[in-house]
Parts: sequence; structure tokens; C-alpha cells
Amino acid sequence: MTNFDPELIAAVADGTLPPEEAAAAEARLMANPTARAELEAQRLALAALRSAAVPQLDDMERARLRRTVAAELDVIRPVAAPAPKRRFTMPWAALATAAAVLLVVVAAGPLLSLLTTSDGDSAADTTFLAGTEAATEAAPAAGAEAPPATATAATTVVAEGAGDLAPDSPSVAALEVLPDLGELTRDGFTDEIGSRLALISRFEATDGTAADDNGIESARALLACEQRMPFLRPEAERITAVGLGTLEGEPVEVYEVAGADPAEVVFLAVAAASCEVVLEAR
Amino acid sequence: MTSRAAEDQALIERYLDGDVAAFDELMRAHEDRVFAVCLRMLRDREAALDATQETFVSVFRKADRFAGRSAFSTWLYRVAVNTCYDALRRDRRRPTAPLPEHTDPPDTQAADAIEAAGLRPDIERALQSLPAEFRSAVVLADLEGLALQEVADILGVPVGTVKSRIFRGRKQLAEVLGNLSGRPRHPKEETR
Repeated sequence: MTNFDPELIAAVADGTLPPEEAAAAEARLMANPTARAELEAQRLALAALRSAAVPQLDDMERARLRRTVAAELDVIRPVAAPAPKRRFTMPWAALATAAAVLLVVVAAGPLLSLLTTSDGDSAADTTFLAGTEAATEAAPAAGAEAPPATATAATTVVAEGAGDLAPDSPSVAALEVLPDLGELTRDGFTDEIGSRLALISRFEATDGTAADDNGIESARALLACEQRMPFLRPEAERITAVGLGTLEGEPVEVYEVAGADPAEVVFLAVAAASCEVVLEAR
Repeated sequence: MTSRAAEDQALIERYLDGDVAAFDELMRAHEDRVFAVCLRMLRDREAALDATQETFVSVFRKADRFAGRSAFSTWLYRVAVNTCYDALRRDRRRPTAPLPEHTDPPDTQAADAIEAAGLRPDIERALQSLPAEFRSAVVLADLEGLALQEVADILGVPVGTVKSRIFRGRKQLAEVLGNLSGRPRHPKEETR
């Protein structure tokens, strides 16, 4: 059996030899059945490899990758430029000027006590709970009826009619127009929002818009966008449903975010300008 | 030094000075290729994402030790491949079994059927059948298009070893893809 040089065969298959040398080498190889078969195998494998699609990160994966790497490295991003900031603040201004409201659901009763007496609260939750306690004192005048004791019923607000939140819904005690809060950090956010809220409840829109995978992925993509408040990113991947509705005539998107504990509810409201706010109660 | 290598060197220096934009630019320049290598090595997308993340974290954490003697991309690929090797060793549920030394005669009828149906072989599955050291050589040289010397630098082996691994990897790939032809081992194969 004639010996053949695997490296030569590979080089002929690669097309990396000078033309004359390649032609001569190929002629020798083709004259040997074993070498010919090896050369054909090399070429077939190369052709198959080079025809394969090039893997690429999709947008969500890319955002997640950069986010997690940056977090691991403590890469501190600069303060958002004025245009992105407006994306955070415009809804608040719009809320103030256009009489649209952020859904702020205030309820008293057993669920509130769950929030203020939860065990194992992390330090990060303490700030918010302090805010909720403060709001508890302010809430009584709202006159909301105590929600049912079951977590499911207590955490669901169902909009009636064409998707408008019924102001006299048993779980809705007050709708509050919030002023322009400016640039928000987590601490500043909880200080501001926490002082106005006693309870966050899950909101379901009933205008017929159903959560679907595209909507959920779109919502996740929005929250994962680097333009959003950095501390919202972990919540993005917990979105499980997207609803559309109206609130006093203003279109509102609402995202339901899964919580592991029935007493843990996460409420996310998106005003027409697509500003996302995530509030977490434990 | 290539322009890409020079640019990477400058970006690393800026990153070490605290320039976040440099971090973004380095990620943008290399994240897809690192992910592609990891996905080709691990096949599983989530595992590839984890390996990609681990690669960049490791590289950025040691960026101050990068002396620029080789291209940043060489170092990045080396870390990526080693991260994938580690992942493959850890993952006992997806062992990379090498092909047996003997091979059955290729099923030319099946190969013809696949070709006639316009079906393409599962390249990724075929790659997974290769031993990790063959797979890395084939991925870097044939899929990423890196020069043999760079592949050798990445894998930390001589160029001759790279050539051998590439040859043997492609050969096994061809066998797995079922497209061997003209091998005079069995009379039936002569019917093509």
C-alpha cells in the first residue's frame, strides 16, 4: 500500500497549497484509491462545516450576557444621558399633565399584614417595607375594603368593562398621580414609591389581550435593554404575562411577574411611553 | 500586529483605566465568535452562554496581566476552549464518546436518500461525536477560519499536532456524515 501524508491531503483539501503544487499533489493522491478516499472525505467534511450556519447571539442573549458579565466585574455604567433619562421620567410627567395614572393599588387587611410581617426579609427589602409601613398610616382614609384572605383573590384586580379599572373595585383604594420623580436609582425609587404605597397587587387587564410568547419576549427585551434602569434587569426574566388595557383612557401595559411565594407579588406597570417600573413586595 | 489586535490592546488599556465604553466595545467585537466556539464545542445553547460568560469574566478579571505578546483574541479563544473542556469534563450526562476504531462500510443508499431529499446532515451533532481535542481543532481552523499557528497557540500544542487533529477530526466527521465514497473495502460500495 502506498503511504500518503495526511497533512498533504489536508492541505490539498484546504486549498492552501500553491496552484502548481496543489495540482501535482492532487494528481498523485487521486491515483491512489485510499488516498483519493481520504481526500474526498476531507473535502466533504470541510464543505459540510463551511455550509453550517454561523451561530449568533440573539438580542436577549446578548443583553443578558453583557449584563451578567458587567455585574460580575462590577462594571459601573455612566449615568444615562438626558434622552434616555426622559424615557424614565416622561411617564411621570405625562401622568401629571395628562391625568393618566400609574396603577397604585392600595389594600388593607391580611395581605398587608403579610407584607409588613414577612420573615426573612433581606436588607434590600427593608427599605421598601419601611415605605409600606409609612404608607399604611396614610392609607386608611382610602376606605378600601379588606381583600379576601386567600392570596389569589387578594392579589388580583380585575378590570371591568372595556379594560378600565373600576375605581370602586374592592381592591382599589386610590389612584395616585405621581410627580416627575427624576432619575431613579433603586434607593431613590423605593424611597419615593414606597412612601406612597401600602400594597402592590397584581393587575389583570381584561380587554382581551392575552399573554403570548412574543409579547412576553418583547417585554423581557424591553426590560433587558440597557436604556432601562439597571436594577430592573433581574426582574425582566420573571415576566410571565403581558396585558394591555386602559386606565382612565390612557393605554397601559401591565406585566405580571412570577413570584415564588404567594405573598410575594411583583407589579409592573407600563405607561404609554413605555417606561417600566417594577415594584416588589415581600 | 494586526489592526484588530492593536485595537484590542488599546481597548484593554482603556478598560483598565475604567472606561466602560471600552468594555462594551471589546464585548461587541468578540462575543459572537466566542459564543460560536462555545456552542460548537458544547452544542447546548445555555451551556454555551454560560461558558461565554465565564470566558469573558475570566479574561476581563485578568486583563491587567495581558502583556500583548499575543493577540487578545488568541488569549480569549484559549480561555474559551479551556472553559469548554472544563464544562465537558463536568457534564457527565453528555459524554463525548469517540468513534470506534473500526468503521462499518458507509451506507451509500442512505447517503443517496439524504442527498436526494435535499436534507443536510446535522453538522452540530456530527461535531459532538468528535473527541473534544479533535473538535476544538476543527472548530477553530475550519469553522472560525483561524490560521494553523494561531490554533496551535490557542490549544497550546505544536502546529503538527493541530494538523493531525484537524485531519483526523475531518475524517471522523465525514464518516459520521455518511458521505464516504470510493473506499475499496467492500464490493457493494463500487455500485456508486
